[in-house]
Amino acid sequence: MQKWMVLILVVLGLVSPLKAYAAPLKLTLTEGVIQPIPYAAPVFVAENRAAEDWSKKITALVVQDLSSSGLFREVSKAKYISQITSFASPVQYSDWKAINVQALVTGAVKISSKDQLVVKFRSYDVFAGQELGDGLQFVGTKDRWRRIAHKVADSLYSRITGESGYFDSQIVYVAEKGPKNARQKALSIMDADGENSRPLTDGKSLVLAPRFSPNGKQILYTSYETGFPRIYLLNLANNRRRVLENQRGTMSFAPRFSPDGGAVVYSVTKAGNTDIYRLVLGSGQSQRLTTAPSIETAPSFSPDGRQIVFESDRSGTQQLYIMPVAGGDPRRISFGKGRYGTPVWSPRGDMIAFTKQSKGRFHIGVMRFDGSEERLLTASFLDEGPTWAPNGRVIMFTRETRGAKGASGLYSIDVSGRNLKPLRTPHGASDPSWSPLGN
Amino acid sequence: MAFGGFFEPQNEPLEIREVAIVSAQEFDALFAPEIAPERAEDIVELPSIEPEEQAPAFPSVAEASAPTPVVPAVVQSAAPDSVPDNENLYVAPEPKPLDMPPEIQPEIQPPMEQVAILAPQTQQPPQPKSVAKIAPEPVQAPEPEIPIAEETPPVAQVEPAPEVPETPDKPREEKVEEEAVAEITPETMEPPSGAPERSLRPMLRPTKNTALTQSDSVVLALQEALSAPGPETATPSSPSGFQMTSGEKNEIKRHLKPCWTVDVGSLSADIVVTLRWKMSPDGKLVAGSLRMIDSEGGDGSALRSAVQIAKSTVFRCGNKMGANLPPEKYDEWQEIEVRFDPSEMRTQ
Amino acid sequence: MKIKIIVGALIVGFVLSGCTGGGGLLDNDDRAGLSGDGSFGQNGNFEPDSIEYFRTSIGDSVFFPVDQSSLTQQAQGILDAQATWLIDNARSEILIEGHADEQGTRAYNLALGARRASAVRNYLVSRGVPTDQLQIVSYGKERPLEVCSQESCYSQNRRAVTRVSGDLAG
Repeated sequence: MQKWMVLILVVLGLVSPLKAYAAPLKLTLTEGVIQPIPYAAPVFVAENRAAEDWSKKITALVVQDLSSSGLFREVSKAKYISQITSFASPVQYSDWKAINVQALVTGAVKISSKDQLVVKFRSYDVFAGQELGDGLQFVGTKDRWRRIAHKVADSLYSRITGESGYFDSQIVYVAEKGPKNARQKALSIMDADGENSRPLTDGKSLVLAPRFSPNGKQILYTSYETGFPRIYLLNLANNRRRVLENQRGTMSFAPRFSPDGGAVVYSVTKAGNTDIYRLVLGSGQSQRLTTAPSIETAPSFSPDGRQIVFESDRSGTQQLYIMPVAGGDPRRISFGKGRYGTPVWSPRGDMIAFTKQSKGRFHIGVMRFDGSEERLLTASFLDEGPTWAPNGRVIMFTRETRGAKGASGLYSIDVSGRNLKPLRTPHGASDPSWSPLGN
Repeated sequence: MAFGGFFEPQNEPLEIREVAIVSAQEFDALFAPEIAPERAEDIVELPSIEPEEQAPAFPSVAEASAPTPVVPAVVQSAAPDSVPDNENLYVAPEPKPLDMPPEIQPEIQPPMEQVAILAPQTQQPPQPKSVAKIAPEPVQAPEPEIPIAEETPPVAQVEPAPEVPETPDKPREEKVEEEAVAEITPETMEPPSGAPERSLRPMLRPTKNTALTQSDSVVLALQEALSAPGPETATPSSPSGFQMTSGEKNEIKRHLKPCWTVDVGSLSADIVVTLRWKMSPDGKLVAGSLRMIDSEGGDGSALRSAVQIAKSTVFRCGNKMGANLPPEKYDEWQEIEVRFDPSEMRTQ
Repeated sequence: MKIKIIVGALIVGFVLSGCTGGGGLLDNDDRAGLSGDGSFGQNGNFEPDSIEYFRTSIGDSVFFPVDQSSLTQQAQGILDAQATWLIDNARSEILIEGHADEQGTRAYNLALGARRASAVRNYLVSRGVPTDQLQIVSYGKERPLEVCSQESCYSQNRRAVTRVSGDLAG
């Protein structure tokens, strides 16, 4: 009897009109918002008394790095519902969701028996309710506390954005003193946040435009110590330097490393004409890459080492050109109104940063390496000489103010054009070059 | 005016120990394109986001005791955040405390146990084929304590035309309208019922063996019969009256927009991600239904980041959006697919 | 007689004071060349074969239009006189410095200064100055004479300076 009932129901079920499968509602969203990600970084737990001050300093520097990038906004500690009192305790996601924290960092610091800093951290995607990547631990001597904090910030940055960071890096630049018509310049190096600046040369000879090697251990720069501008190679470990080009009757300047660090592209002026050359560091052999009677200068390698971008005035005004290193015709990539110079290829390979002069103003700009999507990021009396952060997201450059009291300083800006900020240096500063990430 | 002086030796390399217990595979799985359902407890209803008072720049540096010099920052003024609306908040179960040894070794144990807790409940039901006539999407295992609305459309009478995510919005909308015309009849409208008593769902979870036994099919048919549209759903549905208007669609976008934080300087801003999820009849995001359908324009960590940003949009704004949807058109928005295309934002 | 001695003494004193330097003889290698305004010497006070005479009477600098390295008529006139002097007063080393104003990027201005120096060099050679005595250097925009950010200063900075050996006081 039951079976009959079941059978009837089955039949009814099968023949009754059934709900149609409805297709999903499909939409395209093209407009979002651009705003920093709210994050929380409760003070890292001090696991022993000796670590208390260190945990505060380290947390504060991590927060300073993240917030300074313009991509993150710290949610004030005064708003916290939960406190992090132990690194081991599980996270109450709802407490962080309630104050709209999207990314949470927890950490702990202790001083080891060897008097070293042991710093560990975890990060969480609050709204997905899960940990973001692995926890990490760093160990180092106390004098390295800033580098440890920068490394923590880099790890967080990369977990949240999916890209590598840039906080644990250095800037080599030219420190400047004195009035415009008697300016003294010295090579200097500092942390990317402006701390720990120290000189590399004594200021007695004019020096220009230093550039980091891909492994961060050497600097190429131009110096007038022979009375003529010549390119030099400086070893950071022992501060020894050697001149790379010293031919009578020539001048050399604007050097840059190849991505494998084995070669240098630079400009040489002979008989008044400036062209681009390539020097192999091991053998000392040099090769001329351009032969036009125009000015060719400011060369920069692509990250794959196969092409260079440079500026040339062969068309009548300074423009940007791309050329295979192996040889071939240069192809012009800049076509806007104005003059283009100081091209630098992004470490990501997708874009080229440059200086543009137009209608009496200077701009730092970016374009795709085929010349498309040109965007100007800054405008002022005199901006020039961009350098890329190791992750290709941030650009640092020189800004000089006008007039008799004019001075140079360093600024950074996100590639999207946001977050323009000055960098504090002990003296005037120009010609920055960004190192790779510290290892 | 000499700069000269004593030059410090270069710093020795920093010792770094990366200690993690999550294996590389697991880590990747955390970011893999979502095919599996989400863990139910963590991805449930979320407070909606409204503007809040703006936090000052560098508040933490002001509070920090260490006298680190602060570079004055021109911080982009952030769109303020919300006073959360907690009324719709489903409370997730408390994760178990981590089983940590008292002395912390150099090993870090991430909350693996947390994952372990979740694992048993996230069983992956298979995709039953047409015999059971269940829509070909993964069915999420419910959390016992979380009432979940009857979500599964009982039967797919006619397979819809294959969807092409890349097609632009307009043609898709037209297609939806066509399908609606073709398939919706009054009797097929299912009552949007949120009653937890309808614990039929667990029974809709067949085993991996997709061949159903006769008794299974009887059971399923029974369910369908029982859940067959009652009198209240016998409203005459002329298709045109229940389609989503373009105004309503724009409302959806308007509600999602403030939660879609595009990182325009990032490689992820070059990537288009398409997500799909289900809505319960009372306008809530159905836990575990959010998944990625397609992506274009990138891979690796940039893709992961783009997916995470898009998902975060749905998590954070999904319910506010849902609260504004017309209930009588539930069939139109019971499942939503959004293509997140940041290309126009890059040049801002 | 007394008057003559007094006048002579004055003249000597004048010359000596000129040589020891008020107006800015510079010790530093890197200092820019002077534009020779004759503030501390009249034409008649310098020996015609002296560097000061070259600097002040003949003029050691020529100036260029914006972005140009071409020689104006005025520049050529000065260079003609320079050439004559340089041939008559042969020096072992003549260094031509090229400069640019600040309205440009660093490397390009270095190259532009080099072009200007080279233009001067070529012209002097064409007027008979021996080639191997002449060297060029460029300072780009690094050594401006005038510091205001206007054309009145820029025009003074776009220059090539002919430095005669012995001119660079050590």
